[in-house]
Amino acid sequence: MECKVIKSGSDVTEAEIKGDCTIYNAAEIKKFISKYYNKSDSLVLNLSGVDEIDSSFFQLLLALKKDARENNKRVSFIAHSIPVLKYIDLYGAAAMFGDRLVVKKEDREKFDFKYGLKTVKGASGNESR
Amino acid sequence: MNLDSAKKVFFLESRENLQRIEENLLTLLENAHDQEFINALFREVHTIKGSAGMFGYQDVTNFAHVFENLLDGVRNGEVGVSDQLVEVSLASHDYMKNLIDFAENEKAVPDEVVSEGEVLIERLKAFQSETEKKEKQKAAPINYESVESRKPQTSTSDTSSGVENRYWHISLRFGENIFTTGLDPFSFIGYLKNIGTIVNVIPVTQQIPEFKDFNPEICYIGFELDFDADKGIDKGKIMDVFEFLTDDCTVIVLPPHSEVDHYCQMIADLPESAVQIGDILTQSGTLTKAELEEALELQSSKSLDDGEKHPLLGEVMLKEKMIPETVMEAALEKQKENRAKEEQRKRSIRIDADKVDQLITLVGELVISGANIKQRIGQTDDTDLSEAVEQMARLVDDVRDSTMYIRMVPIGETFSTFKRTVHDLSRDMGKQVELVINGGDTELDKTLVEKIQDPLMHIVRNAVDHGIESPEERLAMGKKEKAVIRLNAFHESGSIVIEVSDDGKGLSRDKIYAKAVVNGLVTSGQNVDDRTLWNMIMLPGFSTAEKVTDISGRGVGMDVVKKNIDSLRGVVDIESTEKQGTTIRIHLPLTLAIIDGFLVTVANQKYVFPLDMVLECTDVEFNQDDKEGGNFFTLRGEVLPYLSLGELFYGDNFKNIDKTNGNRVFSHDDKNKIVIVEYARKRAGFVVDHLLGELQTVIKPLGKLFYNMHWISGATILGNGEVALIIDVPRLIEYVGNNVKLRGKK
Repeated sequence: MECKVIKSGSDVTEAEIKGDCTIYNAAEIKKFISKYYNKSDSLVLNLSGVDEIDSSFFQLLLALKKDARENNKRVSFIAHSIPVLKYIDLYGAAAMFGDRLVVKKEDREKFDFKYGLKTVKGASGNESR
Repeated sequence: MNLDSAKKVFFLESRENLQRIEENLLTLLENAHDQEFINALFREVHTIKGSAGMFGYQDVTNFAHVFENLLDGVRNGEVGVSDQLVEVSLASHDYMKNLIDFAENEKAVPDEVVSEGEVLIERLKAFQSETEKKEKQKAAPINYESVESRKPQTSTSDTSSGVENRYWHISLRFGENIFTTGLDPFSFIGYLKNIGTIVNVIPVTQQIPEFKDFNPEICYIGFELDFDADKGIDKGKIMDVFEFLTDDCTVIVLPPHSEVDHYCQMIADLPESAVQIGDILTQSGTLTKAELEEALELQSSKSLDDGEKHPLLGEVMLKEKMIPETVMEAALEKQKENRAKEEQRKRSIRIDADKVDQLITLVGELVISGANIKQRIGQTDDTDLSEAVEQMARLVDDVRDSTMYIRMVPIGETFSTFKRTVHDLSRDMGKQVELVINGGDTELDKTLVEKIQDPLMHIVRNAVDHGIESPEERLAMGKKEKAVIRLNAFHESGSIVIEVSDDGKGLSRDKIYAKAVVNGLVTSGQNVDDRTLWNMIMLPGFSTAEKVTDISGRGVGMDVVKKNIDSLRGVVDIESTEKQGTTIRIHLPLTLAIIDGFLVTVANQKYVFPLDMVLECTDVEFNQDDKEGGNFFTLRGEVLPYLSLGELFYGDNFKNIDKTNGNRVFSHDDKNKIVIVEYARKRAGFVVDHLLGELQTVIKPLGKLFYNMHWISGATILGNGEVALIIDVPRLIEYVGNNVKLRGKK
């Protein structure tokens, strides 16, 4: 599991999380995110490298979004990997996350995205292709 | 790890389990409604059953199984908690303890004991035969449908149609540790797709705290699902999907078109507020706004007329399904987890007592060595060296203190064992007694704890037997039916004080006086003060009990108690008021092997007073007038008795001893150096030749030859190799109290 900062500025910080994002690394991931969450106005997490995920990581992402919403900060996730998308799909959390979800045409059939698509108060715009 | 050491751990832990079981059983009646309390009790027995099985102690396992079944019935609400149940359970606890004793000593269980066990098993089973014994494997999940038929008819249950929702509604909440057990809700929910179509999922995030306080390893989320089950899928099959969720998870399943009532119940059972849940349910389309309003209304009206606690329907239905026996490891892991939680994060390790003793001896040597160095360094001009030695001395002090405290254990454990005694005794005698414990975390040396157990037990039994009146008598006197015995422990100026007070009938002055006369201790008509009179009951052969019972009254009790406490260099004090109660107070010195002391000289011999008990040292002038009134002097308005140690130790010869010490000449004037000490709230002064100052010292015991030296409790080696004797302050104070009388007072 690897956490890396890609871009760091006062207005936007972009970081990526790669590898095993399960309970084993949960504490470490949280530590990493906490560091950068408070540093700038907006935090962007690139999840393309997330290979393995469990509900604890899902919960962590939710917690971050919830906190951002309540404290007027901006957090967005981009390039959600397939494991991440699977969780968002089953848990109907697309609207809750409010991120723009990008699904490649060849992967489309892996997902349902039947529910959880209605926007939740305060979430940013959402589309799925 | 070989089996032997594992077995040792098993026995240690089983005894702890048993202890907790006994403690819990004693308060079972008051806690009968506390589900978690009953669960904990069940788990303790379950643990013993499992671990005993692992080591092949089949008789323990078999018995525990029956006991556990009964407790299972209690926690399911099938069996009610009653006096008889408590008694049978206590007997079961005793029996299991017995079996484990035999196992530990590798003795075969004798036939009588086995038949005892069989009788007990029959008694245990009898409790459950009234209620239909359900097959443990297939516990019927609590049906909301049957709940409806149990509840009294309200206007809403007249409606025959339920809510519009034509899907199953499933509510999921998890225990906070579910992630760390390797279970992932994702797999459970995902599995539902095999038996139907998931219509909607809403993660419930109300419990997630702010990110800074967020602990990523704890589960805060839950889920609300709407599910379109395939044909032929009933509630049971849906519940089966969640079979392996742990005890602390919640699964609520409502069929399509359930009554609003059921949703109302569900809302009540979920941890979030009604409004929060209601919001989610309408958002997901599970309930219409109108239906939600109805449910919330129902809920508020229910909480008004529902006097008793709701049965915990929201708890896992799965609780009734046991985790398969084969997964014993997981079960034991869980017990350990729960125990860890229950122990309030108290981290402790087991240490061999011998290792501790060895450490203490070494530290003792270190202290002497340090004192030696300090003394030799004393006159140096090298300030750096001085400072370094000073620092070392401080560190040695700290090490000494820490080491001493290793051997201290809280007295609360001892006190707790009396709860059972009081329970049994009061039941046997038809009295109602409550034991209240204070200061259970007061610590004292481990050996002291063991030695004080018997004397205390005797005092407590006396209190129940002789002190406390029967409930009828108490009511007649205007007292509460239930008597109270208080066990109190606290530290006081270098000693530990243990009090046993009761609100019973107190000591009878007349009876004791009469007995004293009979025994020749007092002449008829002689005036004796209360304190002296009460203390007489501790003399051999003294008992005013009219009935000699099994327990006490033979007159061989209190004197043994006094002897025991004397041997611990303690003091017993008795206070009593007729009709109101009695308090017995025991003072025990906290003699640690290494103490701070105050060094003095008497007739060229060095003595040490334990610094803890020294109040002050001063010069005092004695006038002739004082001598006529007895050995008393006044200090800042307070009158204190005193004694010259020189005269005490050397008698008349004292005057002849050359106190000039040969080498150095001390000025011997009319001013006397006096050390004022206090113990057990009594003060006295002791006249010495010279005051030499504080020191740290290791107490070395005196040999058998000196066993009868009442006023010396040990010896020590000073830095220069000289031997100093340590004064037994409590004993001396007692002596002063008895022998120095103020003329004119009684």
